[in-house]
Amino acid sequence: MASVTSYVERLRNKKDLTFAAPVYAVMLVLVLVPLGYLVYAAVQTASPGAPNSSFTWANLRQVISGDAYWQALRNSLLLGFLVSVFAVALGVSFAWILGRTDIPFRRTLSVLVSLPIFLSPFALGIAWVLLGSEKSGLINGNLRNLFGPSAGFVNVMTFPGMVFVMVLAFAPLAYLFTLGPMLNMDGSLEEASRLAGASLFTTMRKVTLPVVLPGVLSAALMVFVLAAEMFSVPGLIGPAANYRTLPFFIYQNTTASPPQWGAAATAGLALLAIMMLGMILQARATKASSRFVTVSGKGARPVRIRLGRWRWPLFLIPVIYVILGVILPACALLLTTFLKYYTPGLNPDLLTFQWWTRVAESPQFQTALRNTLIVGSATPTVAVVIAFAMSYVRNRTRVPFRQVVETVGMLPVSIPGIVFGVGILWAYAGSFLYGTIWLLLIAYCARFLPHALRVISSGMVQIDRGLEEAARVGGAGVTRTVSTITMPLLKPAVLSSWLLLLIYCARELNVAIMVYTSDSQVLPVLMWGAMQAGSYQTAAILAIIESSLILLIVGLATLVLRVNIFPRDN
Amino acid sequence: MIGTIRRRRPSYAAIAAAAVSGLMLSLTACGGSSESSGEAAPITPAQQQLYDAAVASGGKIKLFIGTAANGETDQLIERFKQTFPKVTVEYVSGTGNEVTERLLTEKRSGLNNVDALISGGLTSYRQVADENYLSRFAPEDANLFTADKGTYIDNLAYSFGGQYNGVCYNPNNVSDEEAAALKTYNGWVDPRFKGRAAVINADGSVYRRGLSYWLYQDDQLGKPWLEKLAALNPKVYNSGNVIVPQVIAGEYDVVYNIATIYGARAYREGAPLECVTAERAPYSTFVAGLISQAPNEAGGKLFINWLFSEAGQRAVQETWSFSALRAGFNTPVVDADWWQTPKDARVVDEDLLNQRYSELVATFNSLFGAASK
Amino acid sequence: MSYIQIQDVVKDYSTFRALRGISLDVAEGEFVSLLGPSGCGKTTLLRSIAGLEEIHGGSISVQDKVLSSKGYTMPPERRNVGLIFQSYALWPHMTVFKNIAYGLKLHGWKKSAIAPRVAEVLDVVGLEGMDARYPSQLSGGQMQRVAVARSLAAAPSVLLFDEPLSNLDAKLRESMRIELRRIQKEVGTTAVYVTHDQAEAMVISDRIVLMNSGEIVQQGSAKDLYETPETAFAAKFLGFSNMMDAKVVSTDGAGGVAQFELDGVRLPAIRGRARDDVRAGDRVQLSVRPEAIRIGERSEASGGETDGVVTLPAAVTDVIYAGSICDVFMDAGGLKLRAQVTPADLERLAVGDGVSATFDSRTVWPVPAGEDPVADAESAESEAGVAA
Repeated sequence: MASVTSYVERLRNKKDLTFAAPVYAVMLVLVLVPLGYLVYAAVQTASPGAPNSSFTWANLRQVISGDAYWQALRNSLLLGFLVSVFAVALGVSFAWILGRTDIPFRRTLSVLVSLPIFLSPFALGIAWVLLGSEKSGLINGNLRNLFGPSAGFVNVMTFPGMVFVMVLAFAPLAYLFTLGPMLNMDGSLEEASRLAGASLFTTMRKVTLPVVLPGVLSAALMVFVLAAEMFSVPGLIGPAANYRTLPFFIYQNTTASPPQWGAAATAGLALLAIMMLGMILQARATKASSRFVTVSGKGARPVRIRLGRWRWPLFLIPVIYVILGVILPACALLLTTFLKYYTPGLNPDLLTFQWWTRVAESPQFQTALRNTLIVGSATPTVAVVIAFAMSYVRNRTRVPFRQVVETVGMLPVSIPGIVFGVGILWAYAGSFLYGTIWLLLIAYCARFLPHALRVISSGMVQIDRGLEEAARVGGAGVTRTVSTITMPLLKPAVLSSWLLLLIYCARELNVAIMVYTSDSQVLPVLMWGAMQAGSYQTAAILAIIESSLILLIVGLATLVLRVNIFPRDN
Repeated sequence: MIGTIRRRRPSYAAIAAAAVSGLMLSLTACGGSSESSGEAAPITPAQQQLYDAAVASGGKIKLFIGTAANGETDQLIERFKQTFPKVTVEYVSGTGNEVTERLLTEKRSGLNNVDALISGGLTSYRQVADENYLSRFAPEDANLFTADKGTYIDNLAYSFGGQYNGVCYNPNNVSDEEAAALKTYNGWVDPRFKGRAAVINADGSVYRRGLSYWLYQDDQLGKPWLEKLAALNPKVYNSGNVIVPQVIAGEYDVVYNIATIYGARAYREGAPLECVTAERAPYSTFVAGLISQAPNEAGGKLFINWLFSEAGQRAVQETWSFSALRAGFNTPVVDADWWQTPKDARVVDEDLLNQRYSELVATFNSLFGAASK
Repeated sequence: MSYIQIQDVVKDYSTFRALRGISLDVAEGEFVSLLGPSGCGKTTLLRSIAGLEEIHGGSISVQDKVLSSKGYTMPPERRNVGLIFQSYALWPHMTVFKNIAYGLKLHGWKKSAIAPRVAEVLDVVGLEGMDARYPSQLSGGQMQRVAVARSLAAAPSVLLFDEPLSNLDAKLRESMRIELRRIQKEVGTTAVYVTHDQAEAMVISDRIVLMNSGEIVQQGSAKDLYETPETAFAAKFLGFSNMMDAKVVSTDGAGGVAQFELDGVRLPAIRGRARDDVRAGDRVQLSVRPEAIRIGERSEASGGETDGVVTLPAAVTDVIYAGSICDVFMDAGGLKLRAQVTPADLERLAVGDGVSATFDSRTVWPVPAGEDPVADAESAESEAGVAA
């Protein structure tokens, strides 16, 4: 549609281009290169970095003809679907109960209900393995002590158990995603329904839910994608439950003897395709949801719904969630760290500090902790800078392909972590980066860039252009304008995305499990290794340390610095 | 929602973290574990030279260790450091297969990150040696460790510790009579163990010896026996480290084809785990080898020499619970009471093993499915 | 030489041409308004003077220095112009003092000279003592003044205003208009002011430049534009005008008298003012301002013109009380008329009354007949998404 002359004119804008070019280059390296290598790996015979590798279709044939792959694929999709349905149902009910009704202790509960977001789903999984194993779990063990040998009914090492743990982990995400639309609803819509004669629950079903439906759909798709691509919890519970998902299939192929890299890469590409579809749908649903926003800023704020006799029963729902999702797991983890050897019977003779001492003194742990802290603080810094540059190119320049910048930057969200890890490994094995924590930095940057991009981009869009133009007219060149006006105004977005990325990096396992080497272990990898080694005490200690670190940082930032890690985009 | 809290309330997170940090700091001050017994042992002049060279090369020794028993490995390393305090030892651990694969991947990528490989069975070492990643090196006193030809590759890899394969069980859940039955292979597949058993994968480098030896040496066993075992519906695992805590906790009652070193460790801790070997207990060894282009070659040699020294052999028994292989070393692994050393233990014939190995693994996998880890 | 010289300026967007050869001279110290409907190009022209938009033809010069021309756009920070935004664009993270000092620092003012200067301009805009406040602590009117102070501080050669009062409520707008004019006169800086509000333009400026669809329709004093609009568009844009289709019967030429035959009513020809570019036989629209129409008792006269007074019989269709000025709508044999009356007059009238509408023939002003360009302009601009 643009005339040729205006296109040429835009190209003459050389200053913009010299700034944008490195941004394009960084994007390519971070995102497209590993993807390219993934495709390459799928058709190679050997391991990454190995000298004699040749082209082959055998991997593709093997994967497609093998039963295991299709089963794993089906399992992943089913798991994603079920977790999504239940987590969103739970999350939406939290949003409604905590956001719209008058149950007591709302503020405390909304904090507690959101906690699992900051803690690692893997830690939650470990805690529930300790709590919910059929014969040796804490719950069953104590039930049997109280009620006799056949009283134990909990078994988390099953498919329903896996779904249960993942629902616990993802419900808060669904809650936070749907809270916005729920709160932004025009209260008079519901009031009109009540006046027309509908009961509380009918109103919620027929008026509230349909209006927040696009937001709910968006949350559901997000949870579906995250659940289907998750490695840690299905890797923990899946094998014992005989339910293998695609990420685990990929992992198994890379750790088999001899490893099947080609099969892993091929399966990874398939998973990637599914995830991309999910993310595209999710983006569409989010756009639709924003068109549905009914509040104009001057509309009526929703009034708190009085529950009457339903108050205490509904109050129980978030409370039970907090017990199952926060309190019991925390207690189980803490208790386990003091047990000489793991057993459900609570025997005071077994209590010891030895495990804490061992972990504290272990050079493995000290290295992993140090690496986690380094990568956890360096990655957000780098990612935020890149996200800022990309947002600036997208929103403030006229260089060609600038819309593509943002799309490619968001791409990693749809790439499953473990798949991305395989790609990174192939891309960098044999380079000087391999084996260093800087490779982790690169991988993490690429993987989490979309989150920073989303927050910073929306922040930049909200800055009135006039503010920058006023600075230009006032005498400031482009650089000075950006540094004295644009960047300070972006501070909240920058801070909140920095913190968010810190949390994600600290607990990230999916990519690390592929990319780490002896020199670059991080805490979550150590945790995984501890569970693989059957050392529950060590795993529990590491989980507690990781969670405490995250909580400490988040608490400080939120309460002291007033950073809002999940800014509601309204 | 997080971030919109306005009331002043104590930061629970900060309190919790402070408590945890305080706890950790006080624990760190507490010092070592209860099991270390230790005076520094005398150092030979050759070791002293290696020690000085190791410190000069940066003082860090990197090992790849083919067992996931990190707790016990840490204790072993502690004993090493009592004699050689100026070096630090870091390691990567996993099952023998995992660790070997990772080593090969890293070496092939040009990463020279490892000083020594310490893992079970010679097959991994043959694999590594084939790609020229093993350095020619024989530990001090290597001649005291060459009693059995099947336990070393000349000048490349030597065995320093051994273990038996058998059954471990939870005495709280297994009656004496059942325990007695476990002394025969037919007893293993008794239907009364249905739903109560776990089994270690035949693919593990150590465990394949266990199954292969009597499966293919004894015509009464073999595939029919494996089918009876499969009928018990056992869960399959890749390593004992994962399954043993579960047996102790009562999740399973018995675990088959497992190294009895776990029993020794459990015995020291007072945990409910006992072991028994069946007839013709197979015996496998743990091996050490120096890696090519080691970042701290002196350090690697230092550590390997130590493993083979008297002090090291004692540490290997007391922490890892392997049986010492040094000729003339007669100290029992734990004390004489904890179990009876089987009379006809024998090291597996590697050649025979490799002939039938893939057939065994295929049969096993077809009956039990892949390991659940 | 004029202070600001705008010569044949052309600007294109991808789908249309926003400025079609604009030429305009502004004298030093003059206060000029760019007036026009949304999308006429006034804001585009203003932003081009500021250097925030490029031009594709012609040139813009200030004090004989070329600021913009085809292929050359001096960056805004080098132009030394002040721009006051509709949204004020005060930097929320800086105090009033810092907002104003920002540009001074960049223009090389010595640190010791900055504080007095800030105080000086705050004084000029009537906000002494407010320098420590943040924008969030100011009212709309105060923010607008700070924006003006900020632009004035570095003594720009030109002050540009982009609809600065649109965000204020009506009463404040009125008082601020007068304030802005006072400030400009006090400081003496040449000013170009964009607005779509014709009342505002008339009050505030020395000269009005009326624009439509990227072109200048007419420029002149408020009186010129109001009393002698050149086109139907100009007549309808400034205030309300009764427009009557007619044909020119004869004309004396500019300054003289012309005779017109009204369409649709069976009346003899009436006299009105003549124009050079309106000749006998041309179709025109006669513009008569509502305040020129008086309403009297229905007379037996059938209508027409006598002694320079035009009388039209009419029936009252609506009366609207609006305080000091009231509107009466009438139908004069098919011609729709609107008159302005006092409240007292209004009381005598009721809907349906038969009356006589009379007006002086000197208040009859012809404009060429043609299509109404206003509606077309609006739709074209909104397609391009340009806020003019």
